[in-house]
Amino acid sequence: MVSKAPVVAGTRPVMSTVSTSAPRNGLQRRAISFVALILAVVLWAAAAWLISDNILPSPFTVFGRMIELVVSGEVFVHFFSSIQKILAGFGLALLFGIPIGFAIGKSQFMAAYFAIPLFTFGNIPGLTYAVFGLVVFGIGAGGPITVSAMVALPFIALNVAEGVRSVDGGLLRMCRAYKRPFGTIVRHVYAPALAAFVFSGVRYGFAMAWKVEALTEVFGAGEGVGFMIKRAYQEFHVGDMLAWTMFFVIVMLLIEQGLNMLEKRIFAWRKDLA
Amino acid sequence: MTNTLRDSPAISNPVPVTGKAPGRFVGKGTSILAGLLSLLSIWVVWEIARLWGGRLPSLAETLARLGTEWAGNEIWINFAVSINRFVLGLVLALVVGAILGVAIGLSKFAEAALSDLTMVGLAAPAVIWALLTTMWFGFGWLTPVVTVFLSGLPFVVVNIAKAVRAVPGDLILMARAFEVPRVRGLSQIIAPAVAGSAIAAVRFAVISAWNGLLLAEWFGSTSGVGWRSRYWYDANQMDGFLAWVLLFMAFLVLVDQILLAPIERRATRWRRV
Repeated sequence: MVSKAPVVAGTRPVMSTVSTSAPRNGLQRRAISFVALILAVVLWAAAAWLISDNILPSPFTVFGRMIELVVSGEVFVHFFSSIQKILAGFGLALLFGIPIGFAIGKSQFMAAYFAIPLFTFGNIPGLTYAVFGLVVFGIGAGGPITVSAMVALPFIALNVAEGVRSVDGGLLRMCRAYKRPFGTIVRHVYAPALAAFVFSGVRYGFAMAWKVEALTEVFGAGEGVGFMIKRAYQEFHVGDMLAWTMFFVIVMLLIEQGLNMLEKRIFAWRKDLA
Repeated sequence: MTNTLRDSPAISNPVPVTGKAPGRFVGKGTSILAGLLSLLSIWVVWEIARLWGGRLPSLAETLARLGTEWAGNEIWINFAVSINRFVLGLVLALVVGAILGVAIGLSKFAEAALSDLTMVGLAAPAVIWALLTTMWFGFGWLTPVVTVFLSGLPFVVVNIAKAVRAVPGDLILMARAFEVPRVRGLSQIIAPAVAGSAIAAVRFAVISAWNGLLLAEWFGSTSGVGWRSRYWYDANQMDGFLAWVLLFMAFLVLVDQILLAPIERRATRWRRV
């Protein structure tokens, strides 16, 4: 197993490394993992039984609540609302991030110019985003959208910059020599080279943006996952809070997994990155 | 979902976005000029946003507020309280995380058993821990400490497991065959292999735990830096809030960029040469 330095966004798109020690008996692994999860739930149930207070509901209460939320369709309404905001935010982040990334990749001056803003966007504590999102935009959708855009921007810009630097200079010179139009260069030289980098920027950005978007909804929103968590907190419904948290975690892992598989499939032809 | 822990770097890494082009030389004069222009543009954008939105504080007022907070000793008192909680929770997370991480790195059984749980820990946002601990422990010291512990823990586990896997087994066998003394094997084979991920474990835990601490103090505390920023927010004095945000950033930059990042660069230098 090659040990890599911790993945700093933008230094390289880290295409998922093919694990060298493939599990020889996947079934056994899955069984152990399943037993461990069951054990965790049993421990939780035991703790809930010992404390026997509303403050720590039993897992069965929480699972029951989750089923109710699914049946009533509430889950879908609020996740749809949150995901919509995130997608809008990512649209904005791509709109600004790709040109900025181009500028950074092409010019050292621009790289130095954007270093401070991108560093700031990437390192502001989530609390700050949430509060300013609420203060500036109120409880509408504007806050979460802008916040997810700002969180995702550095990931996308820095990855695009890295992609631009990776473009084969010989190809570009040849295009110029043969007087290819700009559109063709973008379509046949830049786009294939950049796609993988943009994708991994999106993947990294998503994990961060998903959390900060929910946090912004906790501080102020009219709908969405974060808003429901906040409401459960205010009404002191620990069971509801845990149910929404479970959904949050499950959706995050599913989307992560989906992006991961998509990335492997789409960019399978890029053996150098795989 | 087998093996997800290793295949999902995206959610196991919190931010550190350095924004520097690795290994590219930029003329010093140019980069200083660009930095100054950049700060100027940030100021201009902020002023426009302030005039347009009307609810953002002006930077001059923010700096003035920073001065009065400093003069009133609020900065030192609250940072002392918070750092106390932060260090306690972080050390706990490092110790417990190191034990679990070593177990995952060494044994296939532990990996199979703990991977999915760690993934859940990585995916859960810090605000959940902050709200839950506030409901469970009230406004005591336990709320921030437990939140710091829980939000830092999964990052420690993942990176320590990675560190353990990085130990080069072949080299150790060879060292044993050539009867290299144990101490030298430890310092020249194991330590360099492990250092990078071990420091990454600390860095990511610091970033994630600091975020958790701020939220825990915001919701469930009556002292500390998070509480103080909320005090100004509740008073509808956004300049006071922004002043504290600047301090949060300064603290993180100080610990992560000035203290830990150089150590990490030094420890992983041998890999890049």
